[in-house]
Amino acid sequence: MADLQKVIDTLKENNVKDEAIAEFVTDLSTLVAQKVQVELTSVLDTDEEMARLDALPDDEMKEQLAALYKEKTGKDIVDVTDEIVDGFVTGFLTEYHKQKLEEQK
Amino acid sequence: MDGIPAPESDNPHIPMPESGDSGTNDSTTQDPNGGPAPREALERLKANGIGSEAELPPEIRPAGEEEPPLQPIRVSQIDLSSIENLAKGSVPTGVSQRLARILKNDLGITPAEYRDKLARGDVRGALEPLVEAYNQGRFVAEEPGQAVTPPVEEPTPAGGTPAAVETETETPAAAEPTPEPIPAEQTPPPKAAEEPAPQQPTEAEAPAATRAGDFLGSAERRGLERLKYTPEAIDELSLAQAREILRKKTPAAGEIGKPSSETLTSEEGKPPRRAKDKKEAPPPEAEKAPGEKTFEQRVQNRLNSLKPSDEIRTLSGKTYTFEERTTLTALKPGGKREEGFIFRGPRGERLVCSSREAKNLIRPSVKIDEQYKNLTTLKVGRDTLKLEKREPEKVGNVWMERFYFVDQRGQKRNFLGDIVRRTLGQNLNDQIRAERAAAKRTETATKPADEEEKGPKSRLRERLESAGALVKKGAETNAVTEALYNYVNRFADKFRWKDKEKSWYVAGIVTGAGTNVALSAFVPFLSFGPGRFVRSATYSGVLLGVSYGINRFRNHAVGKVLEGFGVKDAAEKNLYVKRFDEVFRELRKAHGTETYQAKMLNLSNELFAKYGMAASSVNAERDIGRISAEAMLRRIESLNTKYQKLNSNLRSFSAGLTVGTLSSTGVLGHKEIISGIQHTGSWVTSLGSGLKDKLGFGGDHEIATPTGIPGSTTPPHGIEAIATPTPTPIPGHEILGAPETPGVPGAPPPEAAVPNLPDVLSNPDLTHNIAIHQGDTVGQLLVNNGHEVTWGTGDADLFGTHALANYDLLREMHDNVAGVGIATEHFPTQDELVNLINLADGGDAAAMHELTETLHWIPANGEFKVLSDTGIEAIKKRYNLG
Repeated sequence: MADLQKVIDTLKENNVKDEAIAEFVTDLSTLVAQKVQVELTSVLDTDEEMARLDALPDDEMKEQLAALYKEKTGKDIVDVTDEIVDGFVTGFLTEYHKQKLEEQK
Repeated sequence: MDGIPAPESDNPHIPMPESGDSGTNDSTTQDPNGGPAPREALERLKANGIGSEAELPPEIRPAGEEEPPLQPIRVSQIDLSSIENLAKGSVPTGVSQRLARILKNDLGITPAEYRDKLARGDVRGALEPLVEAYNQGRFVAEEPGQAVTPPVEEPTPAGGTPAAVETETETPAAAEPTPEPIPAEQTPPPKAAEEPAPQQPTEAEAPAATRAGDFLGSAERRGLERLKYTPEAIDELSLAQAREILRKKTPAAGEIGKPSSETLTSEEGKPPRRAKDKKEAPPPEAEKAPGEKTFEQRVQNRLNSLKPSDEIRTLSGKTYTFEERTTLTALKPGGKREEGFIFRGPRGERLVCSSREAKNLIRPSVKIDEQYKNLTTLKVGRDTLKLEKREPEKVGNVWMERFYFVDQRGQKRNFLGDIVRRTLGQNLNDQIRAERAAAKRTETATKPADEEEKGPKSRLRERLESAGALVKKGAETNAVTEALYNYVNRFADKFRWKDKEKSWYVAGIVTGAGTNVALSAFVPFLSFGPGRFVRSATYSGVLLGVSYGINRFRNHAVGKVLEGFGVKDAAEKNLYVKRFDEVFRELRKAHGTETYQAKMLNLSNELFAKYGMAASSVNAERDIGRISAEAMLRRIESLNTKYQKLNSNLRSFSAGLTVGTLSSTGVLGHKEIISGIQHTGSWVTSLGSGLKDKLGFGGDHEIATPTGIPGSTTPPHGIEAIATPTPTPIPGHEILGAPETPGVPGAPPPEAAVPNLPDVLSNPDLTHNIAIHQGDTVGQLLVNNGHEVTWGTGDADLFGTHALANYDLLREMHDNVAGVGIATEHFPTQDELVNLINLADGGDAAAMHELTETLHWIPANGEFKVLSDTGIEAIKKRYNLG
């Protein structure tokens, strides 16, 4: 699981205000949700599939959607969501420390 | 044996033998065929004071003279010269002479046969007898006075051996290019059969055993390389594995020599049975026992009953074909041989397994077979299907089974046995993954006491309910829970996609050009004007991510483009889709743009040459981008107009998963963040109507737009610094065409998409150094530092990334050891390591073994870099792994 806490700590170390950190988390949520949405939409290949899901009760629809995603990509959407957050955290921390190192040189 | 250089003794760890074999390198004794007569050779040797009567080889002993007692050979006396002299057909004296006698008298291998093995490159056949002799106690492990192995018994010169000896004496081995094998009835009974049970080892045997391992290591490196054996032949030996067993599992007193169901031991004076004969043996005790057998017993039974051509299917769908049993010689004092199993992998690779490894390989297969046999229900996705009947059905020329099910809604479904078996495998795989993931999360997630197992469904539900749970916890409804609630819904409302512009916004993400589009998600935060470092880090974070869905869209688009070119044949189309996919993946690499362009040009040209111009366009690359975007737009349009309920659920599903994931990181528990969310609450989006009504929250908020703070008449601080979007290829998002999508005006191109290794290794958040103490293993270091180690292929990433992170350290240690002639294995290059990781990650046990081998080269008193989970991810990104 991504260590998002380290990102938050980094923001604090850089005097980012609480409001801005809250916005940061919200924006990160937006980014992740966008990507998850694209992932899920990508497996709705046919009208028939969409119609079948659309007819299901809400909870069942989500589970069926997750199952469909798993069936077509071989991936668990929960894992994929984790991976998206992991990707962000990795990119963030790596770039941040790279710049810090360059500054020290 | 032309081309074999003169023997050397440049290894300081391996002393030269007392009676130097170098003396036998005299040109007059090099070739017994063309050399002096036996008696002349004897006289010459005596005159030169080389060797003694007792050590004279039988080839030059006058007829009728008895073989004198054989002096024991110390392990330290055996070096490459001894083996080379045997191989070269020199008249053996000293150690090589004694070796020759042991080989012939105890193991029934004549020098001619031995030479023949070496000449044919049968390295295993050549070196295994030496190991066998060692195991039979034919070598003294330590210096005289410290001998710990049983005293060497001399073979009886008369009796069973003479026939072979005489044959050998009359026809010098080297004179026969293809020596005749000794008939079985003439083969002398092995010494081991006559000897009492191996002596119990003492502690002093451990170093002796290690020396034997070093001896073999030396033989591999100095001998095999010098003798110009191919790497494949060397690999065949698997001596590295044997050495490892020796080093790591030096047995405790009392363990050696005990009969074991998995160990082939001598019986009734016969040589140890080879595994091939074992199928005739009575079943193990567990099989005879009445009543229910344990699963492990059933696995053992399956192992025992393996027949050539039996197929073992792993959970990842790979098929290993069993070929034959073999005998793996464990280098333990006291002599034990273990049954080995040879499989042929999906790529034709040969996999030699111990019985433990073979059990690991077949365990899932046994489980699936049992479930298949006793099937009553089958879980497919969310449905649990009830089996009604199973009937044989002929498919082509093959009889298979068809399973008839009925689901909860009464709908009939039927599958062929292959599908059922595959589904069972997937379900088992899911179960294992879920168990692992659940175990991993125990630190961060609170597990209800009554919840025994967290499968994928419960994990999903947990994430989905996370947002609601955050709110429900504060049933008294305070400002904090309301702020959280607002936060959850804010981004959910961004996915309305009601108008064309927003459709393009999402389509932009799909086609990869949306990298810059995705940056707009962070515009509100950037409007706070964070410092340069934070801003740049945020860009980099945005750029990394996964793209399974994008890959699907792209492949779909490639298929359409190919149809436009007239590629109708399904197999041909699939092939091209795969090739295009490979080309697009170049973009994920840090500097893959040029390669991508070159390969794309070549592939396009190939298409043009083969099929001519496409009906609609000549630019396959641009078409792929356009078709991807159009496909996404069509889906969005359908969702917006025809399936609005699904559309709405998609949004809340994505939002719920996101909040669930973020809350599992713990950051949402921060007071400051909650406080901050409250402050920003004045301008965050309004609550989603459904959740709002259900939970009884109120409050209207202005809807935020992606372009800045609502109500601002001027761009927020920081926005002006963003440059024009550039379709720069980035990892995780393949750019498929010109960015026709609206991005953030002024967004700068990303500066660093892929972390480089030095950055990762110098980042205290990603890695920390651990002192290596004598006797440490990498596995233990990882466990001690919070990593879970299962030692299976599931750990490929864990071990692989650590091998990459510590590459220089491991390589240096390996090379240092290799420099003194002990290290034997080829140390993989970084590219080879990456390949091994990918193979191991796909379930390749042999690759996993090779991968972990690299991690054995840790120097005591050095520092090992242990990666955090984030560090592992960073390394994976750096090397484009998984």
